[in-house]
Amino acid sequence: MVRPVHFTYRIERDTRQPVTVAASAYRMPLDTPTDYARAALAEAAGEAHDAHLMPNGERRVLLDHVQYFAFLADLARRVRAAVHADARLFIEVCAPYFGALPAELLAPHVLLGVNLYGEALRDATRGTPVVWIGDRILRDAEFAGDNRVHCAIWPARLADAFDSQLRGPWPAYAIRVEPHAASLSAHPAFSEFPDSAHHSGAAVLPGRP
Amino acid sequence: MRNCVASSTRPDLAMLAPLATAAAHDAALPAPATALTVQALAYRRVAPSRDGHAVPLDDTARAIGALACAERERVCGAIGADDYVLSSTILSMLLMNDSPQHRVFARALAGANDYGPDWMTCSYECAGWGYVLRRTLATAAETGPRTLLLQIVDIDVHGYTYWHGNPAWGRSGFGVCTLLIDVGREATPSVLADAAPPANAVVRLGRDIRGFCAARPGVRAALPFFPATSRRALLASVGTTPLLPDGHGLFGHAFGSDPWLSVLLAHRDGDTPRRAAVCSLALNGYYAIADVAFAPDALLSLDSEG
Repeated sequence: MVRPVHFTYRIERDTRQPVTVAASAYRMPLDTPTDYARAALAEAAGEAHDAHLMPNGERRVLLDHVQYFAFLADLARRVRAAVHADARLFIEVCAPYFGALPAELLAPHVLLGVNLYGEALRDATRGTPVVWIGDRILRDAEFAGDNRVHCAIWPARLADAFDSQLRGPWPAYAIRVEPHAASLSAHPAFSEFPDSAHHSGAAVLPGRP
Repeated sequence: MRNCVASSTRPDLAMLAPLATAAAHDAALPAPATALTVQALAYRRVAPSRDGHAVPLDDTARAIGALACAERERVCGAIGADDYVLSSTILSMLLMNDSPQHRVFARALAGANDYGPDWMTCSYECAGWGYVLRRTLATAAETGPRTLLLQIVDIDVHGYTYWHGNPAWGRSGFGVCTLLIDVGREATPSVLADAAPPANAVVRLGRDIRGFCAARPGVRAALPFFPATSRRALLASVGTTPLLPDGHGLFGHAFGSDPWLSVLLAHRDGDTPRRAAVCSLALNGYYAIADVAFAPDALLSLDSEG
C-alpha cells in the first residue's frame, strides 16, 4: 500500500492586492410557481444539512464560481509544472458548471467527479504521481462550505513540492492558502459514509442542477 | 445472463488493434480495431414530472436510485464489473453532496447487493460518458482489459421546468442508459474527448465526426439529438458521413444518452450496427466521439416509460 501525505488548508482573504470580480450568479432559472415551491422544498432540505456542517457561521465568499474553476486550473498547471510533469489530478466536483471549464481541467490527466479518492489511490498504487483535491470552498453566499481545501498526494516525496505550490499568497485571487488544523482522517467523509463527496465544495441549496 | 467478470479475463489479443499506418486512412482498407466492445446497452425512459406538485425529495431520490439499480441488475445481474461509473448532465447536486437525499439515493442505487458506483461525474455534462471512457481506457492501458459498467442517469429530482425543455436543445428526454463495455488496450485511439468554444462547437464536432468516420470506413455515426436548426448545422458539418437514426422526434434531447438511443433505434428497425461512432456534445462545448463495437450476442434493450 502506498501511503499518501494529507494536507488541509484554508483559504483566507488577502486584501493587500485587491482584485475586481464581475458579479456572477449560479442559479437554475425558475419559471413557474411550482418551480419556486420545488426550490423552497430543496432549500429547506439544504438548510438543515447546512446548519449541521457549519455551526460557526464561517461564511465568507473568497472565490466565486468563475474564480473557483480558474483557481483549480491554475493549481493543476502548477502541479504539472513544478511538482511532477506526469502527475494526475483527481478533483471532487459534484455538479455541472454553467460556464465553460478551463482547458486545463479537461485535460486527460485531470478527472472531475465525486468519490474519486479510490480512483486516486488505485493510480497511486500503480506508481503514478497523484494529487487528490476535495475542497469545501464557499462559491456564493448560498453555497455550503467553509473554504477548507483537503489534499492528498502520492508519493510522499512530492509532498513538500506540492505544499510549496499551494500554500501562501495567490494574488490573482486576493487570497492566501494557509495550513489548517483539521486533519483529513477526522473528516466525516472518511467515517460513517465512506465516500469523498463532502469534499466537493457542494451546494445543498435549491436551484442547483 | 452474461458474466461481467468473465469478460474481463479475455486474452489481450482479442482486443488489440492492428498497428495504425498511413494507409489505414485509405477507404479501401478496413477500419482499425476499437478497444471498446459493448456487451449490453439498455435504455429505460422516464416520464417527466408534470403534475404540478412538489414531491418530497427523499421519495424522488429513492425512486431514481431504485430505478437505476433495477436497470443495472436487469442488464448485469448481481455481478460486478471492474469499474462502475455513473455519469449525468442534470442529476441534482443534492444527490452527490452527502446531503440526506444523497444518502437516500446512494442506498437505493446500491440496492440489496450493496453495489454502488466507484465514482460519479456531472462535470462533463452530455459528453460525460466519453470522458469516463477516456479514463477507463487509460486505466486499461496499465492494467489490461477490464469491464466498465456505465450508467447515464438524467432525471431531475426536483422537476424544474427548465429541464423539461429549452430552446438550445428542444424537448428533454429523461431516463437511464445502462452500458456494459469491455475495454481493452488501444492500438489506435478509440475515443476523442475534446472541447470547443460553445459558439462553434457544433461545427467542430461535425468536422471531427467526419474525420473520425473517414478513417473508419463503414462505421456509421450516432449523433446527439438536436432540434432542427442545430441538426442542420451538424449535418452540414458531417458531410456524407453515414448516420444512424435520429431520435429527437421520439425522445427529445436525452442528454448523454442520445447516441446510444440512436443505436437502439437502428436495432429496433432490424439494422443493428456492428460498429458505430457514438457522439455527444455538451452545452459548454465539451464533446466526445467513440468508436464502439457491439458483441454479436450483445444485449440491446429499448424500454418504454417506466
